[in-house]
Amino acid sequence: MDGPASTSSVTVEYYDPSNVFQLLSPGLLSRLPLQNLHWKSSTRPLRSIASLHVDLVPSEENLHTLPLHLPSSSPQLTSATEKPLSSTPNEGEGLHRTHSEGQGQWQTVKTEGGHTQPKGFTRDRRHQIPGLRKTPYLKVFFLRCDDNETYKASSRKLLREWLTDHTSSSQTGAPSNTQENHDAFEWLIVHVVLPDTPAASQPGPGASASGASSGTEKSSSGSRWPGRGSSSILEKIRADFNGTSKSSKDRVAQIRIPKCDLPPHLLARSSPQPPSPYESAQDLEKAWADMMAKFRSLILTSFDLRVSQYEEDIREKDSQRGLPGWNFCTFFLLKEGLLRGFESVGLVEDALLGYDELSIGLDVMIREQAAQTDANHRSTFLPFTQDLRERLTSILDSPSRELQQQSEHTEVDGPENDAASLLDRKNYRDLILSSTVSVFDFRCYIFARQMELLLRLGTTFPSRSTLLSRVRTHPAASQSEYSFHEDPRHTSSSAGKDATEDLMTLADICHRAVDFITSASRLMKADLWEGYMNGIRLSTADVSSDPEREKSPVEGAVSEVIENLVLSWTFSASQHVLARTLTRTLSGRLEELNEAGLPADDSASVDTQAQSVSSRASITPSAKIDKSPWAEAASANAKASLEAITASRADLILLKRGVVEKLANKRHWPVGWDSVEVGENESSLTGMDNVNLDDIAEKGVDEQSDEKDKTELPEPSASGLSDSELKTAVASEIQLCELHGDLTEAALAHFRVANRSNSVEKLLADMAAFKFSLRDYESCAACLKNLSTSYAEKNWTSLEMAVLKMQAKCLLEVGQIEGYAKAVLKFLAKVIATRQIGSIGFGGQALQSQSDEMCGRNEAAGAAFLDGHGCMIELIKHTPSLTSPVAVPIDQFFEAISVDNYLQHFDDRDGFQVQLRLRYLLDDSLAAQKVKVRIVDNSLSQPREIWLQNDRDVTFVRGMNKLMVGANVSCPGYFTVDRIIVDAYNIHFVYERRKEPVMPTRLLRQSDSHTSAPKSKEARILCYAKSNALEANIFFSRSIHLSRSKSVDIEISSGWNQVVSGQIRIRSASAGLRLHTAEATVTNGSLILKDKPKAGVINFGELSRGTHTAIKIPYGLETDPIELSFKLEISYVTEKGEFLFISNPTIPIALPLGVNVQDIFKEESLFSRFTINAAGAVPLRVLGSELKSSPLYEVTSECSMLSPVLVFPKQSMSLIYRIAPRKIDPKVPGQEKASKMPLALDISYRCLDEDVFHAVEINFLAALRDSAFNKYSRLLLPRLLAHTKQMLTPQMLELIGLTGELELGGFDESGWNDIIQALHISDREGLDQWLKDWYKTNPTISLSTLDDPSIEQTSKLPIHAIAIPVEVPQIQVVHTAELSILSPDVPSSNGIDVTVSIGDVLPADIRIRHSRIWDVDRALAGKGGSAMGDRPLTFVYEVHANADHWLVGGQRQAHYSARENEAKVFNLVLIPLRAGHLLLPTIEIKHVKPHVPTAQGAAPGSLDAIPGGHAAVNPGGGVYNPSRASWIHNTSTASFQSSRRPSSSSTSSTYPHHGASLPGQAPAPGTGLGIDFPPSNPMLDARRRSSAASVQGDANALNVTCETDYKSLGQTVLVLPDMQTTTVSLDPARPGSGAWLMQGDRRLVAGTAGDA
Amino acid sequence: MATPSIACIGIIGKHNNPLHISLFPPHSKDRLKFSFLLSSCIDIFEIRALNKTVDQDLGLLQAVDERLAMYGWLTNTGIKFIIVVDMEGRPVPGEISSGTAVTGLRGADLKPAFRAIQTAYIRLLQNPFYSPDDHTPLEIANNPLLKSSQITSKRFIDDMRRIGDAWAPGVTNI
Repeated sequence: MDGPASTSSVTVEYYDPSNVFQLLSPGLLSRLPLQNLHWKSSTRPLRSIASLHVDLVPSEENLHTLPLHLPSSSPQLTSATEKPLSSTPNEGEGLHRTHSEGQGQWQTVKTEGGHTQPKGFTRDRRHQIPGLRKTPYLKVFFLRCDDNETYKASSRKLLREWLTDHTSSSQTGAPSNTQENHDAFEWLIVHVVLPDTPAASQPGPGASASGASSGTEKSSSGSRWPGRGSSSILEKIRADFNGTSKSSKDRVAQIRIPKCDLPPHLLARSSPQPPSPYESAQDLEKAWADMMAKFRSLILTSFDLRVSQYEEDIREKDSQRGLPGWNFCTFFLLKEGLLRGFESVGLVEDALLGYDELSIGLDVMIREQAAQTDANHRSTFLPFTQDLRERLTSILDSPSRELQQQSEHTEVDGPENDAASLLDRKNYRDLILSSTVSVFDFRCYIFARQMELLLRLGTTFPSRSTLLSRVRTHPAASQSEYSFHEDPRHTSSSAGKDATEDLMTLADICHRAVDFITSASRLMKADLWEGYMNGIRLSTADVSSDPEREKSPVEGAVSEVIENLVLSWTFSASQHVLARTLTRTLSGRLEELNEAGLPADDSASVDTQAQSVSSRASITPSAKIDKSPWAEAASANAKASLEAITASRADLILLKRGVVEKLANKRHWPVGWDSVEVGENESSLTGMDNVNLDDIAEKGVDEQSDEKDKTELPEPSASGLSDSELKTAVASEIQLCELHGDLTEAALAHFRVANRSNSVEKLLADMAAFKFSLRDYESCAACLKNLSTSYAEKNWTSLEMAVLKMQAKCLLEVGQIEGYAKAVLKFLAKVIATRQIGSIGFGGQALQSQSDEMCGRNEAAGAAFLDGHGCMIELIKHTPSLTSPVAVPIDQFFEAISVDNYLQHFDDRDGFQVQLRLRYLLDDSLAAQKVKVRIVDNSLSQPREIWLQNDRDVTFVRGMNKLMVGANVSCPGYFTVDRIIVDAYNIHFVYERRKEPVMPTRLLRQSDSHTSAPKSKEARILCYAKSNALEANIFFSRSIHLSRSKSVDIEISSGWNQVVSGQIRIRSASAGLRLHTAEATVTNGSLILKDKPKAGVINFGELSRGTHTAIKIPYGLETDPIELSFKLEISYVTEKGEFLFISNPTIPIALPLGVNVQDIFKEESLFSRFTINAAGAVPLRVLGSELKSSPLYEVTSECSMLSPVLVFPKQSMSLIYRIAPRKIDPKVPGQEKASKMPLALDISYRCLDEDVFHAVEINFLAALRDSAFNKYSRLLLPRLLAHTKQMLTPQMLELIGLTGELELGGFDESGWNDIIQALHISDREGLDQWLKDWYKTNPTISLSTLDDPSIEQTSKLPIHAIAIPVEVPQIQVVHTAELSILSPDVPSSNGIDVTVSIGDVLPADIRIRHSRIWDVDRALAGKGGSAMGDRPLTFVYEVHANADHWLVGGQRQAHYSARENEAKVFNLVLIPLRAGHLLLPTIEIKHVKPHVPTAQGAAPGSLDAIPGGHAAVNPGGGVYNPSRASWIHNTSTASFQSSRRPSSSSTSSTYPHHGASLPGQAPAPGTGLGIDFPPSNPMLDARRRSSAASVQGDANALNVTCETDYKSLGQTVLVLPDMQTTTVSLDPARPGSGAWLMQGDRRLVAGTAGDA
Repeated sequence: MATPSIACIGIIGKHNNPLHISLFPPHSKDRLKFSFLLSSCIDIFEIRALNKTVDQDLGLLQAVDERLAMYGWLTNTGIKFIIVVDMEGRPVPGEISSGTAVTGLRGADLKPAFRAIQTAYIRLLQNPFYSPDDHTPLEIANNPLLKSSQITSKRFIDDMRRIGDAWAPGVTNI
């Protein structure tokens, strides 16, 4: 039996005169404890008692004869029951006396009330506290009666005597004395039947009826009783002793002892009897069950009696509460009797409830007492505890100061030292009974009882464990505990291995203990003081005592001792409870934790400990619980209860720790956070000493120096400490600290299990403080690792700061400078943050204190951890050793950071600077080497950034700091401050602009982005260069040769810089643009290009002051953009340093003009008409044009341009050149090459918009030069021009072109405000005014100034020159054809229309001849050199006539062969079919490639002419369109289009392309102007073809291109209807117009009629 | 020996962030200690919140030692009021023992103080310049303008002082 407390069992007394208990006991004990009792009382719900322990106690009478040792539960007796009251021998005696003289005694006690002297009280008080006695609930008589004779002879008498002895009072006695029911009991006679006795052969209790006929019974027992002769002993007993009434209970049972159980010495005397028929196992079992059932019911009966008795009494007492003289103690004891009763039958919860009620009742009592000033009522409780006072006085009397040893000695003597007996060491009940209990004792007693009950609830129930084990072995239930239907409490506790502890209850104990210990220690203190004062009062009773007088000298020591006593008590009480509640489950769990993380020995290895601590610290509490395999197995319920118990145990541990802390604090030993502060004060912060002293002073210590305190304090404090652990710990500083640390660790472990994250954090901090005091910085840092962030997350600023500072110190000690720096910075940031909200801490206290105290003097406790003084300086001391810089947000240390939104140019060089202002917030000054500001321009597709930097070291002091940051950079545009870095010895204070949602800048048109106003109000710096700074621009090259690659010009003007050397970095910002920087050349100025190390980079040499230079860079294009973007950077070095010019120019590359050409071939010459038109909306001013002669051709122009011609988009300009081939001497070499060179049309022109800009610029700059704002020219001018550009609509341009004047518009429309706002404030007003004035004085700007040669700027006038290659078409043959009407009537074709009438027959002839002078090849090679030579060529002509107009007779189409200049004539007849001016039919002539066989047959001049000819007539317009293509210089894209109509020639479709073809140069697709080149070189093409022809061996197979000069083109014949009368029918019914020519009569002319 | 007095009033926000801490003599200088105490007793609030249903008054949270005991109050909005009572309180000259020192406090003793705190807090919430949402850790982390979650209302702070000074066991109206 693992020990239920003695109070939790029921006593059953047995009387065993014949010593059969020995035989019975194995069977009996195996059936104990009693199971499943159900008690139903009238006032309560049904209670089930799962098991009830029974103490079998031999009665007193029995003891004399048989000193049987019973395996009762005596080892578990509590100290209370060890007292004489409950010890077994006395019990028996007591019982005996109760029966003999109880009545009288009760009376006396009652009259005496509670005031009897304790000494003479031992007997009688049992009545006063009836429940405390272990009076038996049941008395059992084990009767051995072997046969009826014996029964008759002795047993019956024996029984009767026994019965009268015991039952006289309770069962049969007068019911008037209800008090007896407190000890109510039942009795039971058990007839023990030994085997082989006559009795054994008698029927058992179950078979009494059937057994009556048994012969053996008759013979053996021999009935002496009439009518009962057949009855067995059992029946006899029943008849004799069971009550007569029907309702009376059966109090007789019979047990047969089986033979095998019988010891041999008993067997020996047995006579040979036949074996009993009633000894079957079932019968035996039945007999036992019957007896146990009787046990149960009888015990319950007596219990019920007792309870009802008690309750009645309690009710009575309770009702008297109001009466004077009512004694709580009496009431208490009475009620406790009931509770004990409950407890003894296992109704622990009920008992506990009762104690709780009593506890509250006590509270009420005390309160009532306190409320009443009347001294009489106070007397219920003693004002102080006697023995405490004795201890106090003994300690005080002993000269503790001198003889520490002795005081220890006396304490060791005291029996109270045993922690286990601390709570219930005294005979409280006596005290209570005598009403001489102090409140402290009373409370202690109640708590002890509560704890005991709870412990009983919480710890093992043997029955359950066995039951459980039984269930567990059952396979079905082995897996899951849940399948086992128990009460939830049990389930939760069983979750542990085989633990049967109810952790929740244990947790409850701890929880109550915390409350109790804290309040009781308070009580104790008061108690002690009271006792002490009482003592003084007694000793100085006569003297008028003035407590104040005596206080001062002695009281310090007294309070010291009292304090120590209390602390010691607290410590050991906590320890006691902790020890009692340490369960297997819990210890296992904690051990697990310890194994995982905590080596017990502190000094063993710092390293391992640090690791372990860190490993523990790294695990978050929640995660840890989940991961543990133990916890996995546990149910949620078990977890909850485990958490509860650990948490409340941890609270107890903390209580203990609090004691240690107090003791240590008294001695000024470093323990916990306080200690660390002291250390701080001593070490570095001298300023804190004063505060610390104040602190001490407040604690009641004399105002002395630290040193003195320390020497003085340890002495008085040791006395009074009774706890041995404490006493040893107090002896030395190290031990005490270690004790503190151990306790912290233990509490930490508990809290971890309890999942109390916040408490874990706090304890981690304490742990860290502990480690810190041990100078174990590494583990300290490990403890603190996650703490600061955790506190920061929850905004526990002061805690975070404290943690951070400690962490910083540790890291510094450990040598982790980076971590140190980070921690310090974080800490300082917090210092600032807290200061900014107006206080160092929180709320009113701090506000108050700050107003009261001097600024900077902070609160004492923790102030060292909240003070940032000197930290920065120290930090800076250490940071240079950092390997990588530490970045912190700047706004933690600086505020009001602003950058002036206007720039200031340097006085002596290019570049600019900006003022940066920031307010530094720390007291410590900060020296920074570098302050960098990054400004970016995100408006462009490619963001630009500039780093501005200060030029000398800065020292920030608290308050506003200003400094200039600058850069030697010129980069126009709006910039925003993106980043600020203050670099102070590897600490970077970084400002980073918040990222805005990305603007779709790419969607903005780039031209807009330059001028767009600032989108937001944020500080934007408008950057612009000084007017005399270096400047560079990119232009589209002003002179263009269309056939050559395009280029751009970079114009650089050095301004005031004497450039030593420089580098141009130009990159394309447009897709497909390739800059051929390697081919860059200087076109203007004396600049020397040094080398071009790689693509896009050009190094150049010296550039003297005030010079301009231009560099031409060719480029290629893969796509066809409208404009090109560049990234241009020019870095240049002067004496003043290195500078950078950045610009992102974008230039349009569309040519503003378009040229079309039309060629008209004549026999001798070619007329080319060039049409020049404006490609865009911009009018052009064409200054001149020239088509130069070439070696092959001679060009003549009938007119030369004298004055510029203005070309508008809708008004083009035409130029006609006559081109004639020269006679070539084929002998002269090189001509062939020259002939390939196309003619070039040079056009020089200006664009009107550029003129406008120029005019504006001249005007504006001239005005600006005279003003004070010349320095802003580079800012203002682009703005003005940009605005002007916006104004130039097509209509405006047209107007300007016509009037020569530009209307500028007003100031207000021009949007100057942006720019003005971006300037320094002093200039804003003036510039504003000046601009307004300028607008006023210059409402219009005349372009005529540009042409005024007196103005020097004219030289800068942008005159564009374009050279357009013009190729003369390659034609071998030019035909000259003529159709003439031969009618004699009509005048010959002299330009006047021939007049004929419809139907006239007009004879006509066609004359054709051709010339070959345009054949360049022939001309070059000489007559014989050509493949064609002079041989006749076969042609076919075809007459095309409108079939409606003409009826053509004769050969409409014919082949013919002809030599050069050979005229051929063909006859035709034409009959006009219509009236009106009819155009003559057209003629098309084509070359025929004859078939070889038929060629021979085709004789020259044969008339197999077929209709043919060159389609050349446009019937409608009469505009001659030479069949060869006109090429057009396309307007918008400046590309040439070969719009040649597909040749309809049957002989050849390979009419060679010409025009823009560039001989000798491979066409570059997609380059520059996007000229549509023919697919291959026409010349080569032609040659290839000719060679192919020669292979054929027939010259006629050659492709011959031909043109026709049709001289009769456009000639008309006037045809008259020649009618006499006409008849017209007007019939509206007919469809159509309704008019119908019915009939016409021809005019009869004799001549014509004859012809017809 | 003396009467119990309030040692500390702590207002803790919904997210376990301190909103206000007032300290009273003789503990005015133990800010760090009380901060630790307050922060660790958040655990108890959490445990109680699981078990208790409606009641705002959580009663005794924890007895720290024989002097200090913490009492809690949880509003519907998750604001936690904590009063740390010093059982020995302010020293009262010449007085030796009193009933309360012996019996301890009843839970009801602190109700008036909590009510007063709640009233003050409600009044604070009625202040249009006080936005409770600005006093959460998240908001502070996101908004650089807010440096701390502390309540800075002077009136509220004064109220706390008044409550702390005025309360004593048995005082029913603060």
